[in-house]
Amino acid sequence: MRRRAISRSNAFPRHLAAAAWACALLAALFFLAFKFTSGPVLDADILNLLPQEERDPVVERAAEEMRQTVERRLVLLAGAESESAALALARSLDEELRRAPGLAPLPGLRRSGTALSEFYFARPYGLVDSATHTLLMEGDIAALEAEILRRYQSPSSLINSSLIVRDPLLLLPGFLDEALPAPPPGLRFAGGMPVYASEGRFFVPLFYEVEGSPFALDVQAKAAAALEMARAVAARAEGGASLWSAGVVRHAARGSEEARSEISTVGLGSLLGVVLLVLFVFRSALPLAASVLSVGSGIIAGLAATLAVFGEVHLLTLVFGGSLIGISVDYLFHYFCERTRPDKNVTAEAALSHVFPGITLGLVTTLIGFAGLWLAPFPGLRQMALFSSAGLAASYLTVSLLFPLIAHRANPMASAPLAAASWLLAHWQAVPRLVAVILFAVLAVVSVLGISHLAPQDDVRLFQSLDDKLLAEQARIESVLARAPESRFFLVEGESRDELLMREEALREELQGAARLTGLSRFVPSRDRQEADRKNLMAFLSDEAVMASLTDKVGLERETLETYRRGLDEAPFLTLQEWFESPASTPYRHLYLGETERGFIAALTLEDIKQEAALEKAAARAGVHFIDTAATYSRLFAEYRHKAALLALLSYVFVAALLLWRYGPKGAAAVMAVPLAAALTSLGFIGLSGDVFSLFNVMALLLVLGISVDYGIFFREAGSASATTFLAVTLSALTTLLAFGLLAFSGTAAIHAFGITVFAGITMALAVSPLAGAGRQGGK
Amino acid sequence: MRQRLAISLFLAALLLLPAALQAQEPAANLKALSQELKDTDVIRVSFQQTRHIEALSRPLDSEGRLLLAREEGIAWIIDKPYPVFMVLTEDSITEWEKGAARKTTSLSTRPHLAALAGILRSVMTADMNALEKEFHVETSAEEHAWKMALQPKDDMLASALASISVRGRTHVEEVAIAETGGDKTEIRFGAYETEPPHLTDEEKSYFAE
Repeated sequence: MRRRAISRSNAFPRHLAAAAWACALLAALFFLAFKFTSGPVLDADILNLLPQEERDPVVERAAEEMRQTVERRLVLLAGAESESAALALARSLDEELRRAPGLAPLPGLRRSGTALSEFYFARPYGLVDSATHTLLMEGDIAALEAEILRRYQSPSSLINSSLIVRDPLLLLPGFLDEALPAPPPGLRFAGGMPVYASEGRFFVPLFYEVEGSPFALDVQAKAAAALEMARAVAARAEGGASLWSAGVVRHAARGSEEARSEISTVGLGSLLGVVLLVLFVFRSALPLAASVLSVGSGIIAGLAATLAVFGEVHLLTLVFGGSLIGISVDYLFHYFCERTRPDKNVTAEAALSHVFPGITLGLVTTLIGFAGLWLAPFPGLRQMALFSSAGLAASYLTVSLLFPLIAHRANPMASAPLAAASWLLAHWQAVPRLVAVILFAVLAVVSVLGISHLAPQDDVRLFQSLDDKLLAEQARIESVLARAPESRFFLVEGESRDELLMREEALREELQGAARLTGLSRFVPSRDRQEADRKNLMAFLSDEAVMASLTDKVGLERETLETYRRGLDEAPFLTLQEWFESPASTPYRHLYLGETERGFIAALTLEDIKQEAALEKAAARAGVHFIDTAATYSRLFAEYRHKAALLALLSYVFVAALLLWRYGPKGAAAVMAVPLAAALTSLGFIGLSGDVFSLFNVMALLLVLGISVDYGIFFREAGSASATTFLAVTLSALTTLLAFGLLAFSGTAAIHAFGITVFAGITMALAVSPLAGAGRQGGK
Repeated sequence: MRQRLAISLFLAALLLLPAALQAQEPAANLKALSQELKDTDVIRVSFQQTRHIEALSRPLDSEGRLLLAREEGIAWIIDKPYPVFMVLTEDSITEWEKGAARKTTSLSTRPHLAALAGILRSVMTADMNALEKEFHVETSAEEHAWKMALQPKDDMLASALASISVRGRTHVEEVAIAETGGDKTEIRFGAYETEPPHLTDEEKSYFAE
């Protein structure tokens, strides 16, 4: 039996090390106090947990800005049985909400329409709809002439003298019809406000924007207060009033709330489990105080390391970190199980010497597991890995440096748990090899069967738990407004603003019929297009036959037409700058994302998508980017699921090599059997239970490795003296199972995946690990 | 600039106005008319329209028939200067030439129109209160005829529409609209036809999607 030695160096002045460690912990505590008092340190933005796609930074920035604009929106829908009651409710809501801090009103529907008409009425030269543009480009003078005559003679043409004087060819109304968003059916305007009729009720929408990121907790609090106020107004209103609202801020607030409650469930649940177990087994205050010290130092170090590296800590990290309590207490269990054996008196020093090799190797292997999490470029996983590694290392240091000093006197623990452990262990290890082998063979077959049923899922919802009630409310709003928000959009770049507009025009033309795109070029045609349209219109007007027809058949004055033609020739071209300066552009200004180091960039929003494939294809155009965040994440998740599987495999091989170095082939095989059985069962369980299988289950296998291999090691180290080890391992496993079992109840799929995978794996590891030491006779 | 059609629509509303005037102190004819139309679902009437637009050297004339259906909406069947159909429902306008594709536009891009369509609806449901919210209404009676003058209260409407006057005997015979820009529209109506009392199949097809 070959085994390399791991022992503590006595040369190092131990008291000095302990003092240094105590000082370091104190320093970390001060650092935390400073961070918590100097600004917000909690982060709740799901996207911050996800990897950034390796994309052009210019595009990334623009896409981010566009996303933020959309994310800040908050829509309220005031409903009532009559139109007047709905309007009255909307007015009083608006009055209240305009005063609410943290909310800013967005321009309503009607006002923007009117502002647009006025803006263009003053600049009528050469702005035409796409059908007219085509006629002009084709030079089809006869068709254009017929069309203009038809417009004059049609009773539905909205003409009067002031329009005719400015726009004698009646081109502007068509241009405006195309520029303005297509309104849904069931909408009308009353007293300046849009009213939607739906299923016998009347609804008035109100649009606001939260000031700041909807993921910031203070922004969420302000929005919640404003909504609370709005609900109070609706509750006082008459006529069967209802109030619905939707916006990212509501989902984000719900997510934060859920994360907070999960942090306290997992944290308190784990803590309570630890306290009860410690009291039950050790029956004394010292181990309890020691466990508080051990767990506390872990949490302090984890938080301090995370804040030092990331600047803030994500709520989901805390949820995950809550499970740290269950793992970090392991070292303490090993120490005290050895220290307070009821059967013999072990000094603090001797106890530590006895467990030291086991817990050291245990720490190293667990850290290898967490290092695997660190290697994946998920900021969220890195944060969780850092939090947990630092916390574990700190607990380890506390146990090995401080415990010998504080645990001078300790009462022996209760004899019953140890006796029970001895009895269980003896019987378990006495099971004939053949029976055990058959048992595990059956389990392996079942597991493989389960693994073949794994249904991979890779989408962004893994990180986002959306509340069903909020989704239902949002769906009701969407159905009334007949408009579902589309998260995908295009970005278009150009070296000049004009190139930008030309590229938009080309893109819109390509996608005509595939989807409706709203972009700046709908309101301000490119200079090229304006120039071409004006030139062709002037040519049209210089045709004598056309002039004769317009003056004779319609009755237009020659002078009116001449003035218009001069305008076409001389009036300055419409520019983006001019448009931005007008209130007409307010509802669309966010589409312009500004200057970049290589020119200009703007967004085009999508509606009414009819041909999905055409969108992806159009993204191949020069300067055009199709932003589909959800699909991007799905791709990333799938890619990393494969990478993580490889990573997990490598970690297992690495740990196996480490075990080979210490225990030789036979011992290594015995110890490695524990994590392998754990991983196999865990995957099989997920497959058979029909649970979602994702990247995060694979990541969790790294944790399963890190934790379960410890159990094997402890048994291997303990040899025949394994009753205390079994007790310690059982206690460790119980707290770990409690912690991860609680995580399995998380509403966030990623966290749930960690919980369920580790829970299933560790249950198996606990059952198998005694066999890892069984083959070995004699102490160390 | 979109008020022209709005005004045409308004006329249509006025045709049914007598039904809404019972509470007023009208001439006997007007009262009789409103009684007669009270339970009428469908009204057909011929019209001749002349638009005097200041910026044009000659008036624009059109003529045809008007169909008012209580449930479905209003249809214009225009014969001159060339045949065209135009249908207004609660929330959209559809226009087409015989045999050609129908072109539907929502009313919500036309706030003026949408507002007037609302008035139209209130007239059709004999909601005089709603009408008086939007207009100052004056009625006067002559020997065999009655007259009515409407002036918009709403600033936005008033900025485009100066006044509307309606004249009739046993039915609405003439409507004159004066716009603030100086343009004028006159429409003369023929006799009302209320038989058959329901839409014929052909008439129904005007309102079909």
